[in-house]
Amino acid sequence: MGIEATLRVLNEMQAAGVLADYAIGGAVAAFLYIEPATTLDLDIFTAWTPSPGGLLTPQPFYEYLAGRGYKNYEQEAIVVEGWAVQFLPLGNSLLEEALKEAADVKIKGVLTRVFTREHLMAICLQTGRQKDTIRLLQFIQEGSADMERFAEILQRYNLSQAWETFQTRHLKSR
Amino acid sequence: MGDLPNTPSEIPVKFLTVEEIYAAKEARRKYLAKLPIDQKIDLIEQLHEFGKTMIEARKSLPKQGASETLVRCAAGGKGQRPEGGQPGSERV
Repeated sequence: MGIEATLRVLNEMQAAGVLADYAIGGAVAAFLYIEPATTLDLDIFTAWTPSPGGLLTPQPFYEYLAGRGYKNYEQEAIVVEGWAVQFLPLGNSLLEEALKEAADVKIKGVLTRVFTREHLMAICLQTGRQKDTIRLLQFIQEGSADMERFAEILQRYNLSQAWETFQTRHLKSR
Repeated sequence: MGDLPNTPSEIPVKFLTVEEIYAAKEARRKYLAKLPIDQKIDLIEQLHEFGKTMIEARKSLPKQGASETLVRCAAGGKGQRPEGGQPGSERV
């Protein structure tokens, strides 16, 4: 049992039409680009299906997984093959673009999709929690990001000012 | 083997400088960042297991409020309340 088993289940959900296009974001995605650290869950970004009343809900994912015997939860995440999976909606246009432009990656032989490093960096900047700041600094320190592409993303999603502020606070004093 | 030092004071010890420690950490960071994906996944899995173990271990810690811990520390770890204190007055 490993993350590839979890991804296999997600791909089967997709094949069954329960899950739309998805991509890995959050810590696991970031750790594929930067130095890995401890994480407890696997963030899956995908479009949530509207219920008959029009409400966007992850309920169909949980029902499908419950039908396959996955009934354990860790806070808001459901445990699938040892990994606590959190289904996150595409809450804004940056996340929608991140999903659209996600990279195809094979993890232990299982094909999946992962947000690009430039999108992950922009999401860190937009989200702005302390751990996002640290992660963004790690991306910059790692030095492999396409900074032109990153700047274009920032411009498209009105994050250029936030980037200026970030640089003043965390980079220019170095 | 007979030439080996047999007391700790005779063992040559080299202390790293801050710069050397920083350089070693930096080299490690670069090495880990550039690992092939499947090796990274192995590492992430190990760290994930470690994280789960730590969370479980945390659950087994005695349920002790932070304020009580502080008072215990201030009282030299003897669990004393401040003089004249009533149960519950130990908040700091």
